[in-house]
Amino acid sequence: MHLAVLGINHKTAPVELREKVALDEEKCGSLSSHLLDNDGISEVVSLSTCNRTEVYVVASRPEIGRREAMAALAHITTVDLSDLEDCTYYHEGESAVGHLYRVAGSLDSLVVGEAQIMGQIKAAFHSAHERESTSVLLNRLFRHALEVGKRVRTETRIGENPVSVSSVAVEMARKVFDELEGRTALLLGAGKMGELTATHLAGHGVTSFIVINRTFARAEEMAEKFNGRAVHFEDLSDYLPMADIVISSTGAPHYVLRKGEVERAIRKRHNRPIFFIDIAVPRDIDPGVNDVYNAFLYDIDDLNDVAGTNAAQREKEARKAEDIIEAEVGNFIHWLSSLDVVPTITALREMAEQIKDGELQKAIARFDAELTEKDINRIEALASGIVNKMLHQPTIELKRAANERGGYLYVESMRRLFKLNGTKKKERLKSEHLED
Amino acid sequence: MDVSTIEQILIVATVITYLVSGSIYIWFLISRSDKAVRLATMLLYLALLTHTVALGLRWADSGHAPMANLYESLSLFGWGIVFFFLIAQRFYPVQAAGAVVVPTAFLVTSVGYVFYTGPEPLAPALQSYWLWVHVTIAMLSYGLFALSFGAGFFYIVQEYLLKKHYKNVMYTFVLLLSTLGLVLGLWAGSKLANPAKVMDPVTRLTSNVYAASDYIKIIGGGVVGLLIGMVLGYFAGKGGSKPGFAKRLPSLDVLDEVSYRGIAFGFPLLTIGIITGAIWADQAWGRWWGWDPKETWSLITWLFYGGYLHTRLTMGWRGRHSAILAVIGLIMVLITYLGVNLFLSGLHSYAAPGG
Repeated sequence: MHLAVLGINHKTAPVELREKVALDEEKCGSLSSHLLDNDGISEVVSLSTCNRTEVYVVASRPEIGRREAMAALAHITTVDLSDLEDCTYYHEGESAVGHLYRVAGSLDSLVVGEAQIMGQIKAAFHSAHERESTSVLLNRLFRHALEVGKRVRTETRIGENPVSVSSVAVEMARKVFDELEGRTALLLGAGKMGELTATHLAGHGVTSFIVINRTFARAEEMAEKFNGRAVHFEDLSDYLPMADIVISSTGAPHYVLRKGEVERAIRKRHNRPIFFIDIAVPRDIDPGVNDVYNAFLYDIDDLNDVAGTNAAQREKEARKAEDIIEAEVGNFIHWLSSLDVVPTITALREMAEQIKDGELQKAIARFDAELTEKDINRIEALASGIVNKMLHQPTIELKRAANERGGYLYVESMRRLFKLNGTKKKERLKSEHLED
Repeated sequence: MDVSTIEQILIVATVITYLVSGSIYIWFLISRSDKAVRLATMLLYLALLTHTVALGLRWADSGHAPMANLYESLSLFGWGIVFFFLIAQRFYPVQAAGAVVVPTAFLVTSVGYVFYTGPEPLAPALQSYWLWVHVTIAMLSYGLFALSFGAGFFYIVQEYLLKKHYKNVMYTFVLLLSTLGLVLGLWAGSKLANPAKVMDPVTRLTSNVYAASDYIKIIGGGVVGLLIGMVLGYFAGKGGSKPGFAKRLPSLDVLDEVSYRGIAFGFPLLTIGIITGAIWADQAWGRWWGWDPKETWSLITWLFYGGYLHTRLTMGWRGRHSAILAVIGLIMVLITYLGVNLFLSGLHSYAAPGG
């Protein structure tokens, strides 16, 4: 059997095409039943997120995997086969395993180190598992991939420091305020970026929002979204002292907030700090505000710089993650190769021979010197005969199964029943752990 | 092996464990490894245990609470610092402060050990249960002020980094730490050159007590200190330009709170310490207050922390200004506690080495 993945992602295709290839739950289901109708395909898992669509298959022959997966994907999504061929990637065996592990470790993500991918893989695997389109191989592969993803997250600091402007802003605010729960945010201007940052703040527990905008109607609209209150622009100085965090994103060509106003506001709030986030270009807040006691001002460049430093840090961590992945791919491939028929038969035979020899020696020793050379030969022939007869049928069945769909199930059972693990003890423990 | 040998072994073990634990706390700031902080905390608990046993042995051996001479009181002070830090760490995310607090405890305890004297019966003037009350309370307040200092110190660092947007901070760190290294190096060099013959630095500088070889030692000490300071400053600056580094420092909110709480609890204790001292002075020497240097400096310290609380509660000070006061406050405490004993003479000089 051959493990393979066919995929399309943000690196190989523009969003227009990715949209068309995206698979919802239903399409995933029809894709896998479509694929499993083919005798050459025994297992299917499809993973679809906003940045990627990937189909993992187990095929009886390599060329079947690629051809069938491509055809099925084109069929289900009604995208031209030629379009798909230009924008997809295809990996087999070891490189397919490595690919999934890199995806799980979020090394293949648009934002390296992002955390959602693990949940998405888990969900994709679970629904595939439920519609019974997976078996020994993909079960093991996906469970292992989730373990690898977890290892990458805990053993490297790949996801530690935020790399997007709005999450950096939240991170910085938390350095001033610790917990953001119950804090008040003032939105100056009702722009898109301001809204995004405010959403992030709301996600971190900010509950009270004040929205100020030149056009009052727009302010009201935005205030409604965040359950906050809209305030007229003229009243800014009355509301500024209430704000712990100010997000400014107006389209004004000049400074909207000056040093003097901020000084007064901080005095009014008894020196409790205010954190200013100025994401407008040109800037809204006088840079001198940063010099005001207990006022902290970050403009878009400052946030970008922090994001850049963090991204560089992630790159460094990504290299550590690659090492982890390489080792884990090795472990999986080791297990995979144990599923080959020929080594299994050899191992089975070796084991039987060993038992036979051991028992023979014991038996012959028990007779002391009573046995003649001839007797010994007869006994040996008897033992060999039993062993060979016993092993004859299983060997034939295994060889036959090797060419059938799902044949490795027999190999796997054989290895388990007879404890034919050539793997090291530690690894065995690990794979048993993965089984549950 | 007699009791005082066991006690000394325990104290040395404690001091070494403080040093190791403190180094791991510093390493934690650089590596940001949670494993490091767990190990450091575990070691610190262990050291606190051996320290407690050592103090208990000294108590049993001498028949009085371990606060009668400089060794005993410094040892107790170091114990108090660690004790309060471990409590604070349970309730606030102040692990990063361990990088200052634990080395401080190490310094205090090891300086105490330098002045080690065997257990002695109490001087008649000290034979009173007021010793126990007065010194314990004073020590508790010092421990809290030390905690407040640590938090205030990191407030200043964190605030500086936030204001500078984590950019161009290298220069400041290198400058500050190399200056500190230079001063400490010169001091250590002069100690080597002229070990404690003349305590007073002014006399030492004005009268020509040094030989030519002494100057080599002094300058050598200065150069070594400068170099160490520069290297440390470089690493601190490098860490400081990474926002991830400062993430391990607690937020300004927490640091300000811890620093304030330390003084809010320490100040009433200091007040009680001074009052119990006055009552005891009345019993022992027949007067409440005699402007003895220790008394004077404790009053100055008291007024200073009173000022901190006043600016904070009535004038709404908070943040950097308060943090600076908390840092200066500990210098006052150290003058009251050590400076007076070591450099000035007075009735409290019973606590001087060998005194």
